[in-house]
Amino acid sequence: MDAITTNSLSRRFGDMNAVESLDLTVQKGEIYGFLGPNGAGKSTTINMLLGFPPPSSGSGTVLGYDLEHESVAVRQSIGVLPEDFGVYGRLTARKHVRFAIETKGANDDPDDLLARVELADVADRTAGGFSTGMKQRLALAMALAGNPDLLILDELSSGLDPNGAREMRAISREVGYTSPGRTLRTRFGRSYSGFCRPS
Amino acid sequence: MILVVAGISAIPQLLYIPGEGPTPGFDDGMSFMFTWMTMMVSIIGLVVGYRAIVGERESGSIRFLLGLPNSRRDVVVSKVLGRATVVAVPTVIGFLVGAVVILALYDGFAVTDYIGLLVFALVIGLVYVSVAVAVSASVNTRAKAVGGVLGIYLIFDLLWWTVPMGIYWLLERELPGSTDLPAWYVLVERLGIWEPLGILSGTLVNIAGVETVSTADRLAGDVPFFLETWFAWVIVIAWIVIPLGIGYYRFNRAVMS
Repeated sequence: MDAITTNSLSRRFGDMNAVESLDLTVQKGEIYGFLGPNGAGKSTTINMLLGFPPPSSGSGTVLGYDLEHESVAVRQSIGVLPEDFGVYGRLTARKHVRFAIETKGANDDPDDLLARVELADVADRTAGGFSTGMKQRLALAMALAGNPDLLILDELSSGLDPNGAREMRAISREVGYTSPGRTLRTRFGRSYSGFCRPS
Repeated sequence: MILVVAGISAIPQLLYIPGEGPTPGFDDGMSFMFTWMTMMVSIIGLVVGYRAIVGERESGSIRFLLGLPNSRRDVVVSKVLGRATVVAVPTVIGFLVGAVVILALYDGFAVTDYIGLLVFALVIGLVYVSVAVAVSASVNTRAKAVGGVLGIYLIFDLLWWTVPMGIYWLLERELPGSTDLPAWYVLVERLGIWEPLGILSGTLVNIAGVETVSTADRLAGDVPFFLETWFAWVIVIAWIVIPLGIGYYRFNRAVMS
């Protein structure tokens, strides 16, 4: 079973074609870089994979689930680091991660996930005061909840300085390679030579 | 938040103690509390609800909600329940504090009426929270949510009494009296947010000394079924279901960008 398949996936907004007839196959175990200039339709594609907006035409599956009609099942089995997210400023890092774990009905230890993204020592601090890099790592910890079979990391290092971006990549690589039983890594984002497999 | 609201909820009692004349009774306390509690709970419901969803859209935390296995219906329903609880908890606490004060100060504590008023306050909270969350689900900026909630509050609540009156004036070229009203007039009047709740308050709370004019006395003819008291429940439920339905519909079609 492929991780992601799309068949002639298209989305129009009014008379603008945001995504036109996209055929995409991402295999399990693959680290897939989904690259393109602004406005190329990356975000619309990722949003369609996450269930909204529905495609204007065409279809697709994520881990075998139909992206339009089985979206909750899709999101149950994947982990998402969303683009342009905002944290709950008054909640602690641990509460963020616990929220993700509970929503997925998983039984991870929030502190373990925070340790994997090197936020263990700020678990009790509210996320409102976090730097961009810390927020990004917090969102990654949330994406890891429930040991997902597929990670979608949208704009992984957006807003990060080169150092932070490098650190983020190192952590993601770590996360991807050190967890047994998780053979699939798929990521989307800007250009990361040496990280994404050329596609 | 809860503490603040609990404090506010207790203020009527606290103000009441020094302000009243000799030997105020339980009924005086109740009617004072009725006026303040009902107005406060409705406004608190709107304030607590209007940011529920649009706030998360503006901050971007909605992306966590929708990236996790939640349907958009889950989001709307759980926001209503969550925010209604945010209103209910301090309301209950406020009523408990109020009960202590009333027990200490007045004779003749009527438990059923007091609980009736509490239930009524909780229903009000749910209705106004639903309306506010519905607006919150419908729009993409907090400013629009404020405008929507304020507009609805002004038109369908505070100023709604002018609507049947205006229609009447357009039709008859004169202002209506207080009796011999046509059934449609009272029906239009009852389609506001507060009006059906006010009708129901009579069934949940019995404050001695407060007499309301019965619907039968205001009408020109017999009371049609849609003006009977039970039908007010239908309108109240419609005020929960219809706005939320519209809000869910719009939220379900909204692209987060």
